[in-house]
Order: sequence, then C-alpha cells, then structure tokens
Amino acid sequence: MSLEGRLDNESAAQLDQQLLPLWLEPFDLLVFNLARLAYISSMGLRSLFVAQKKMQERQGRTLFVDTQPAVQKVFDIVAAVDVGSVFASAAELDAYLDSMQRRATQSSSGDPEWA
Amino acid sequence: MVISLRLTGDPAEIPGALDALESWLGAAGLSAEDLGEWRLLAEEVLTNIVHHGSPPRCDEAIRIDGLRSGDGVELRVADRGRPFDPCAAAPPDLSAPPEERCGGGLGVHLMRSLADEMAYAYRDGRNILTLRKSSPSASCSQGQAQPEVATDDPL
Repeated sequence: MSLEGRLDNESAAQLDQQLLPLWLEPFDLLVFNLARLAYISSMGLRSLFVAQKKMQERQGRTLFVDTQPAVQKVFDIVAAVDVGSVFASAAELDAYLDSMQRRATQSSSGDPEWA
Repeated sequence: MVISLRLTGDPAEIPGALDALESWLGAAGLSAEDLGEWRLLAEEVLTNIVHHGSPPRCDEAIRIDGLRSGDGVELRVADRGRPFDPCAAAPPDLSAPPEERCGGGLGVHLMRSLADEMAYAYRDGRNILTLRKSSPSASCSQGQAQPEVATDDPL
C-alpha cells in the first residue's frame, strides 16, 4: 500500500476506512511504501499502530519501505515501528523477501527448525 | 512578522488554520523541514484542544499568535477548553512493541520532542501554551548567494 502526501488527522480516518475491506482478505505481509509520504502526525501513527496490531493478530508482518527523512524522524521520536521492519529501498525489501522465501522453501524441504 | 488566527473550536477548521500558518512561515523564509515540523506541532496542539479540551464553540474558542523574530519562531495558542498542561502529562510507554501500542500520548510527546521550549499557563479561563523553536531562514542555512566577481580574470 502506497501512502502519499500527508497522513494527518483527516487522512488517517480515510486510511482506516481503506484498510477495512483488506482485513477480510487472507494475507500475511503488509508493506507500506512511504516514498511519497512527506508528513505524519500522531493520528497517522495511530492508524499504523492499528494496522501493525491487526497483522500481528493474524501472525503476519508489517513492513515499511522508502521512509522519507521527515517521517523517519517522527518514527524515531515515538519508536513507532520495529527497526527491523523498515527498509531504505524497494531493492533492500526485495532482497529481504527473497531471503524469507528461501528460508520458507528450506523449511518445507524438511528442516525441523522451520517446520 | 506576526500572524493571528481565531478558531471557533470546530475540528473542520484545523486544516485551513494549518495551511494559513504554513503559508505565513513559508513567507517568513523557513526551510521545508521546519515548515513540516511547525505544521506538525500546530496540528498536535489543535487536535488535542479540539478532541480533549472541548472548548465551547465561540468566535475565539482558540486563538493562535505567531511571532517570527531573529532565527526563531514562537507560537502561542490560547483556548477556552478544560485546563490541561501538556508539559505535565505523563510520557507514553515507548518500550512496548508497536503492535501493542494504542497511540495515546504521542501528540504531546511529539510536541515536547520537536519544540525547543514549551511553556504552559492557565489564565483568565484560558489554557495558554507557548512553543518556541529555532528556525533559521532557508536562504541562510543554504548559504547566501554571492555576487559574481571575475577574480580569475588574468587582466
């Protein structure tokens, strides 16, 4: 999901609404592309917390890619996201997802640790 | 440079007030980074007032006064809502994992972190919150344009 412009008091409510139908779908990885998100306020953070919580409840993960400096600064101030879930670029995220997929493949081929 | 804005306490007025404030700060020469941080500070203050302070709707339920001087900006926000001192509010628990957080207290924490100074007083039935932040002009921080001088001319 790509976020653009400002995630503030107003647009956070819109994001919550847009995510609603998504929660009915089966998936275990939610990626927020923040390349074009220039601003986030506490109401926007709240929406991201809710999304992370919902993903956690379904044993899934939430990742953030291409966070811009102004948004990263706010993330850092409030420790809004797990450091390990932030990726500087789509290429970095792809490399991570590839390694996850390799592990999953290994586990299905009999590694008891990943079964 | 000064700006003065009056709000009735209607949440729908907040985006317009933030736009006006940002235009004023832009005209005052602030960098894009400082503009964003001031907008965020103001949004957190106003959202808190409207959603938690519940000021009675009137012509001047909230009054914002901005002053640009030297290398800094001072913003004073007065409101007629319930007394609330954000300087004394308990900090949020930042150690809990993100998926266990509810987002409470983040606005005040952002205000405290982004402002250089934050002062609160309650006078004449009004909360008065003053925020200060050093915000040099963008043109200064990028280095001032020098007039071209042909010093390399061998003649």
